[in-house]
Amino acid sequence: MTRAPAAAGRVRYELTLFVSGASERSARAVADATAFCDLRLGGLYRLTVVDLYDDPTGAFGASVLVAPALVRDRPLPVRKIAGDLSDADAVAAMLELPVAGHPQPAPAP
Amino acid sequence: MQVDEAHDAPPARSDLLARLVEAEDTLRAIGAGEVDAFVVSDGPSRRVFSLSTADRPYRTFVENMRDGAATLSPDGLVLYANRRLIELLGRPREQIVGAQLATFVAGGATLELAEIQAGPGATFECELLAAGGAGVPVQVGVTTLLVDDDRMTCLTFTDLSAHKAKDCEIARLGRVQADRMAQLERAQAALTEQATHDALTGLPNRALVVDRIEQALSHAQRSGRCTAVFFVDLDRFKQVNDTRGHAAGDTVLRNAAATLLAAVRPMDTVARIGGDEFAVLAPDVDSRLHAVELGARLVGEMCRRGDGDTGERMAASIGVSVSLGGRGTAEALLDEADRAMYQAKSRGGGRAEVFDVALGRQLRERSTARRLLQAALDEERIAVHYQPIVDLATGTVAGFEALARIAQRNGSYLPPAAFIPVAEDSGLVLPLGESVLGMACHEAGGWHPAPHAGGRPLSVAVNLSSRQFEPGDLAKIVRERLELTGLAAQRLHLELTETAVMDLHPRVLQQLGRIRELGVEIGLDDFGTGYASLTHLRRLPLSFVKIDRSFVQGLGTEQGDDRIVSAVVDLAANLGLRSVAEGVETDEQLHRLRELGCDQAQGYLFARPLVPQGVAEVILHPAW
Repeated sequence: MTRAPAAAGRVRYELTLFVSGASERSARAVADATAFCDLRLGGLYRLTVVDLYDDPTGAFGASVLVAPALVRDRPLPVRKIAGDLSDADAVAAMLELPVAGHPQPAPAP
Repeated sequence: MQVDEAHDAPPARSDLLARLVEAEDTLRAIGAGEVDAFVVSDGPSRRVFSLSTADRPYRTFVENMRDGAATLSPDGLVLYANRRLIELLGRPREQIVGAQLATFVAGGATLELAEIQAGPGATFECELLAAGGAGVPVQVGVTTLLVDDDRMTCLTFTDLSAHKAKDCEIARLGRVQADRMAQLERAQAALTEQATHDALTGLPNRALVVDRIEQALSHAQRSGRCTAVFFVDLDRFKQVNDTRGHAAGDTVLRNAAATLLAAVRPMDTVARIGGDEFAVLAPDVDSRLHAVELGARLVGEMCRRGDGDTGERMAASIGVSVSLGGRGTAEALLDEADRAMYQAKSRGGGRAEVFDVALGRQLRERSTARRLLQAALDEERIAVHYQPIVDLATGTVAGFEALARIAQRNGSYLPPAAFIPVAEDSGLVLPLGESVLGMACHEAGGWHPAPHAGGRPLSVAVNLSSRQFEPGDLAKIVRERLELTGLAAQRLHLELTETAVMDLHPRVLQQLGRIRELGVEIGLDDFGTGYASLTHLRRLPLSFVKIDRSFVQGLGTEQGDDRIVSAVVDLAANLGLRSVAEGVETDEQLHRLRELGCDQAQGYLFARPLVPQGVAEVILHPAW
């Protein structure tokens, strides 16, 4: 599943969400990731959802170890976050994506 | 790490730092239970391992669904059973999980395991064994799951109890319907049976046997075989019915039906087609001869089997008609058999006659003769000729026998042989007999004895048929004729054949008695050839006995005949009866008769039957 609200030319961010089958957690991960993208990436994104049960090798390029995991593919560098994606600020921090005008305290190193 | 003053994007971490951060984040997520699967590299391939809590919603779904569900290991062990399955089996979860599924399936393991191995998408029906031994009919659906790279067999169990109940109900309704149909069919068969069978005997009726004859003929057209039809008439059924009542008659009919059925082959049909008439169809016979043999056997069986109540033999007259190669129609065959039966009856009954072309001709001739006789009666062309009866002591004419003739339009005369039999059969003998009696009485009134004859008045002898006794008023008729013609009763002689009085029926005896009382003389004709016994001689009011010509012919040559005539003459004399010899043709016979003491004689030796005009001359001038 790919979500790309922006027209092709205007995609700025490419992300991949890895989930494990049709579980509740996976469903939540999808919802959270989508919400994050819409909120913080201003629609300039393409989000691809990969079900590891369908395609375990999809994790290859991203060397993901656990699911759910959200990976920022483009622009480089590749960054990833695992587990609960509901905290948009945390997600943004881990993926080094814009916090969009919400000054946040720096996360603990 | 510190957030930079660039608000859009935080400062990039170094890759090394990023990896460290991500590793810690992953560990944190795992520890916090935010993760539900691991991806593990195994050389070039990756495998995904899920944590059990991950599939909880789906587990919940399966756990609570309407059908039973189970997951089996490749060996058939139950790894998981949902709530419904546990419910269906009526056993605790612990008993089920870890046990062989086959334990809970009726019919054991082998079949079911084979079905399961038939692969995903398979469905089959079986019976689960619930606790307590009850069987639960289920439909099983098979799917396979790849779970963590292991292939699992997943089964769903749909309870068919309700369906089965419905099936039972449908089956029950089906049976009710089938019963009703069977009832209808039986009623229909009974109706058909009624329409095609005789109620009293249960035999096929005329309609059915005609149909079967048609079938047999059509078959014979192909096979070239013979078809035989037998018409069976019980000889004295009417007497039984009249004297012993209808119930006895019914018994006789049933006995006859049973006798015929026992005598025929399985392929033959016995039918009741009339009051005491039966038809037998033999659809396949070898030849006419075979048919005749069958007919003879039927007669034999009928005669042999006594009538149950009285032990009387119930003889039958049987007519046989044979069709070769399916020639003819059913009606024609029955008609021929009927006419042949008629022939058998007129020959005395208790016999079988075959219809053939000659018989057909004979019967046509008889039919012609009957028309001829009727015309003669209507046109008063009945003539009477007279043969003299001679007194052997004196040689003078004692009287004349009246013999009927038909005067044909061309002037010639028909002898009795040409019309008496048909007169008897048709009943025309009644008007014929009356006519002859009247004419004879009238004629005799004009006869005067010869002067040399001693003055005894001349008699006239008239032949009577047994049928003339049937109406019951014969004495009255005789009296009327005598009164009408003025003839003295003593001059009238009535001749009866032995068969006419054979059974000494009270009716006959009564009328004879009345006739005798009038003064009329009665004699037995053709004596010695019939069934007369000494009882007859004793019980009948006889005046004379006429010795049959067959014995007279042998006089002087056949010792046996000689002795018989001698005995009869003596017997008659002892009983006070006059003896009259018939058919005297030679002097030797005459001589012998005189020797034996016979009273009177008639025959060609003396004179042939004469026309009325010739009588007077013979009286006066006898030629002998």
